[in-house]
Amino acid sequence: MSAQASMIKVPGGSHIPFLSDGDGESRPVEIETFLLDEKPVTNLDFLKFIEKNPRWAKSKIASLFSDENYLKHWPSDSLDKQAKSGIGDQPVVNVSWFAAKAYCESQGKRLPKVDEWEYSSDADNKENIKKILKWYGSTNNGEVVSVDAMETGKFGLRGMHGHIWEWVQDFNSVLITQDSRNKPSEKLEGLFCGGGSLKGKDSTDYASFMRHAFRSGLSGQYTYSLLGFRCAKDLSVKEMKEE
Amino acid sequence: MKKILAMAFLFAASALFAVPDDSLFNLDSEWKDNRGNETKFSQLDNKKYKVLTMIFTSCPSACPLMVSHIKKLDQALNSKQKKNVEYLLFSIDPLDSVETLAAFHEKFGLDDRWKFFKSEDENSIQELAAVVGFKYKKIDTSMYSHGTDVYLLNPDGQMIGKVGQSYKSKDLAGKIPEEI
Repeated sequence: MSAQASMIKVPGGSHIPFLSDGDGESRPVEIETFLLDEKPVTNLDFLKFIEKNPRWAKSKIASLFSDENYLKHWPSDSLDKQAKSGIGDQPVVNVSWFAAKAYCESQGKRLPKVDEWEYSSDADNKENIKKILKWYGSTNNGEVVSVDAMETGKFGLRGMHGHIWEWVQDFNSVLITQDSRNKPSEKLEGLFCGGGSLKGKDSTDYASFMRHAFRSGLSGQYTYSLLGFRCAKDLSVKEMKEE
Repeated sequence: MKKILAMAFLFAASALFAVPDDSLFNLDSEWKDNRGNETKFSQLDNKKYKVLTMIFTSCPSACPLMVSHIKKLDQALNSKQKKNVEYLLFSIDPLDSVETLAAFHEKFGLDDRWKFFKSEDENSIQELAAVVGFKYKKIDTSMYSHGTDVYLLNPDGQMIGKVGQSYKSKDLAGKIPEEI
């Protein structure tokens, strides 16, 4: 395994976000060409990170940055030989947003933004939607495969759908539930500077709706046995000139 | 012997200043307040309860409403309680400046217990929002859609709940002691 995970250059383009900010149609956003990890970050990758940054170890992480299930699938702060061969190449899960973010920063990278992730994942593709819905409905709870066994999708990215959920940088930018849950509504209307409620661009796209709803329910400390991540990176100035 | 005494002293001192591991004082981010002072969470007053939320100063409607709402919560406190609480409002807009914060502070006629903070580092803003659970989204330059949650921290910087959800003034008055 190479020291630096291989990254795929995702060519920029126009993306229509699934959710609009209220008044009418979703406005397309321009995605700049950027780099995205080919595969999700693995348990072995994460172990190397912890060895250099022990404050993110299972026994040391501050509870401000994670819940109690952080790395619960690890036997200890490290992985023994058996664990390494068992789960080493599987995507790391049970990590909080803070830990995922710190990992990416340690590599000179960042988490992808939600628009970047959605754009790269080819989520509108009908075949993908079928696959995602099948995964949502499957019962193989907590089973993950090696990242090398994940199939390649658009742009050459592997395992974007059907395996794990992935953290994004701006997971907390979705305001789906907040306004609808609050009563009394007339008092709270207008409290959102951006105005009204959110709407999906295609109400039949249940797969996208699920993904956005899942993100809106997350908090930064949250960990889950099917929630991992991969990192992104902006192009360097030199690479941008070559674009 | 001297060495042992020195070590004992250091140990006692570190225990005295130990920050609970779920305290916001663990955040490393750097902020500037409405007076232009540089500050970090670890430098906040550890004798006061903190009412914390996030705003941006060019916000047309929600933020002024949030501020006037928090003011009402403050008015329901007695004079002893008032001394034990401070109001910390963090900007979600990296374009806010010391001047815009100061103008906002003055416009609402707020006293020194009210402090506004800003950072040019979006990363720091996002981290704070994630720590407390505040949701926001940039819509345009200096325009954001955001939640209206207001959080209560104890003097050690630990989040002990939200206030003002139900718009009742006792929300805060029932939680701030007269003596700390």
